[in-house]
Amino acid sequence: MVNLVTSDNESFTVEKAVASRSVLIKNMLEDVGESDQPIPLPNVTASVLKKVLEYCDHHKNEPMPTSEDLAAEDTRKRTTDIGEWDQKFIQVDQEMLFEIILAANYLDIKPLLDVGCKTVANMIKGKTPEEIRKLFNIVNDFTPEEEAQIKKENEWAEDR
Amino acid sequence: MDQVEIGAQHDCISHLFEGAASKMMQETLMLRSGHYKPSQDSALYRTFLAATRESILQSVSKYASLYVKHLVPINRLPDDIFSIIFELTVPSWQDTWEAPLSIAAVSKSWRRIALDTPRLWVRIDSRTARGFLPRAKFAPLEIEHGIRTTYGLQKFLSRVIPYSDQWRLIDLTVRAAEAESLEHLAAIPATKLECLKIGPKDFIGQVLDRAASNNLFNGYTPHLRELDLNVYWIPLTSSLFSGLVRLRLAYIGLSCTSAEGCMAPQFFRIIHACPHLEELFFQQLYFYEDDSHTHLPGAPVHPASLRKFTLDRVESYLTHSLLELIKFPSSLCMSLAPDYLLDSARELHDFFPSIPNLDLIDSVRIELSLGWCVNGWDRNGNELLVLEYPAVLRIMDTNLAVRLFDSLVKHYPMPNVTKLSVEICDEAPVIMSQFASIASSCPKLTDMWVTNDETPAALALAPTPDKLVCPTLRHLHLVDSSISPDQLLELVRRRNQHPENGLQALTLLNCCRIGALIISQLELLIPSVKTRDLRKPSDTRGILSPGKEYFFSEGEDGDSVEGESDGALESDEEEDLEDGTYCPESSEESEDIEDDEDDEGDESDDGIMDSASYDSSDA
Repeated sequence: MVNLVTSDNESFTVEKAVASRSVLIKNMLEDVGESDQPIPLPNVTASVLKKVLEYCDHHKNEPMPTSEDLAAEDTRKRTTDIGEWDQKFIQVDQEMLFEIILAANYLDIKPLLDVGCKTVANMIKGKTPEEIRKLFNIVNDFTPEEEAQIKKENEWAEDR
Repeated sequence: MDQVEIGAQHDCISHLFEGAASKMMQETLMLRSGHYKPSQDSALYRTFLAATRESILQSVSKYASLYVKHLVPINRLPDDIFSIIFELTVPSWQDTWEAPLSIAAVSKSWRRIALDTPRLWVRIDSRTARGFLPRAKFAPLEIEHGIRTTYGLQKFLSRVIPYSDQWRLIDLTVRAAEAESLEHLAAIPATKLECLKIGPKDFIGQVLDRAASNNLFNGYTPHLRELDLNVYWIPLTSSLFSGLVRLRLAYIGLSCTSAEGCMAPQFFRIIHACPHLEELFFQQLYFYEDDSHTHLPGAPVHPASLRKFTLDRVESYLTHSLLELIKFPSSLCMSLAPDYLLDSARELHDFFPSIPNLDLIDSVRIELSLGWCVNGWDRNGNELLVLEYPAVLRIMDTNLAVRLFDSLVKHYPMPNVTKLSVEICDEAPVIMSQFASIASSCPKLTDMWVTNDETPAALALAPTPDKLVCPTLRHLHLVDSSISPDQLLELVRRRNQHPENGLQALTLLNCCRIGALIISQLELLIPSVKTRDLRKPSDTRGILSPGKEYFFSEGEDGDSVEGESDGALESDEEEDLEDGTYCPESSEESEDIEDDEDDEGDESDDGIMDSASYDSSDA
């Protein structure tokens, strides 16, 4: 078993197979060897780690993505399809969604990072800039001159 | 990074406040000591106060906007994650060229990240070429000249050819009048090209002889894995036909030339040169010269990675050669379509003398309704066979269905089929003998689905009191059947007069003539009787095309009843049978049904009702 301590000082004891879904933790365990020492995770809060561990537990028996998988994904067209369980798992509010993405990035859990990024991509797709701003509460900080310049970009979309 | 900025702003504000307070303290001390002369310095003092106030307000405002920005959750993501998300939006956007432009117009930070993400700008067509190419920098490009564009091909190529060594994919739709423009591709480098597609813009469904070019990219495309040529062709001797993973050739007429030799051997050379081939798709390929005298390689080729193989109305000699000389892997999905339009008198086995892997087929669906098709799956639900007929044949040859059944029975034995679905419509002239012969040809058949049975051909399963067709059949599913109550009762009585070979389960889906009274009578004859109205709003599967989903769905319709010939029933099921309570559903589903009953509802999750809770108003 592995003991993980969050930034808000909460402790989680999980199976090694679950914790090792995180490449960061897996490498730490390999470096340190067998130890009872808790692993501090200063960038992850308890509520987020709980969610991340739920994901890791569900996928603990799946093969880890190899470097070849990642390279192939890099060159080929990536889809935004998300598995059924993952879709339900990631149905959280925006705050938690982005925290999960940050935690997956920090903990180096590539499949979870993928699920999070695909979810955000699916939220963005097909929307106008104004709709995207509204969705994520983003302020339009362009000056009128910049906006005019951006509008001119659409003139590229020629088909003559 | 932002944390540091907030800290710095905070320090700055503190410093300003401290500076202002210190200055005011000094002024006060000077005033008290009598050295201060307000009349001289008041203007200067007011200026100082105004400047300090302005500076503080600016700092507070900047600090507040930074703080508010951090309150917006998405702004916590670092730039590299934004880049990943932005790239992911492109393939799924309906008009892919809009995605980068929309993203780059959201805010300054989104724009900065978008412009720093070259892979966001790699979809190049006539609309985006000018704007996107510089932004894509050195990223691999996906070049498309689509069917809807009015932009000239030559003009488009002249814009993208300078970047040819960045092309990852090129998909060109070409007018006949523009075909000469393809010559521009002959001698340009495309060393990163992975996928090449060339097709016609003015396609009229005919096989045409249009050479794209005698050579493309100097014949050097070391990364090319996918080649899709429709109407336009390049010589089969081209080195582009090597190392491929996917090869699709359609509507191509090929003629032998002295340079190429004959056609069929060239195809075998290509298969040899593509050891990792996963898909071969040949549609409407014809040779202008008789190729049948040519010498083919004696030893079969074995493309071990081949997963999908399609022969759709391909020249007869090539079809026969490929089926004979390729050793097909067991996991292959073979899709075949005979060219009955060319020769409607020929039988199916004249087109395809042999079909591989038939002994691996566990489930078969024969559809003679909207489409004419035979599908086969292995035990794991992987599709192994698709045999399709052009829809127009129904008008041309009404006897074809009978011939199809005959061919299937005589020439394509499938000895291990346990599940069979036959979908027919009243226009399909399937007579009972054909129906019985197809069922009899499957010696391990335990589950049968009969859909749209208006004849009803299912009666052929027990034609006379003494004759039993397919004695291993245990579970009969009638879907959208117009069978009458008397006919159904007679069918069941005949089959179950031999208890050792009788039906163990009957599922009626949308059989409008079968009411509650008949159900109760059927229950006396069969251990399990299930009914369902496909049109119930809660039914999520009812409107799907019937057939495959019945085999492999999670619901009880997908569960087969093991035949005795197959090694008998599992022990629990045997016990159930002994006390007459056998039910083919999985235990999980049975629990669902019990739960539903507890919840005062009569329906299980997937809309199935057992006979005890059947409501005659549904009938």
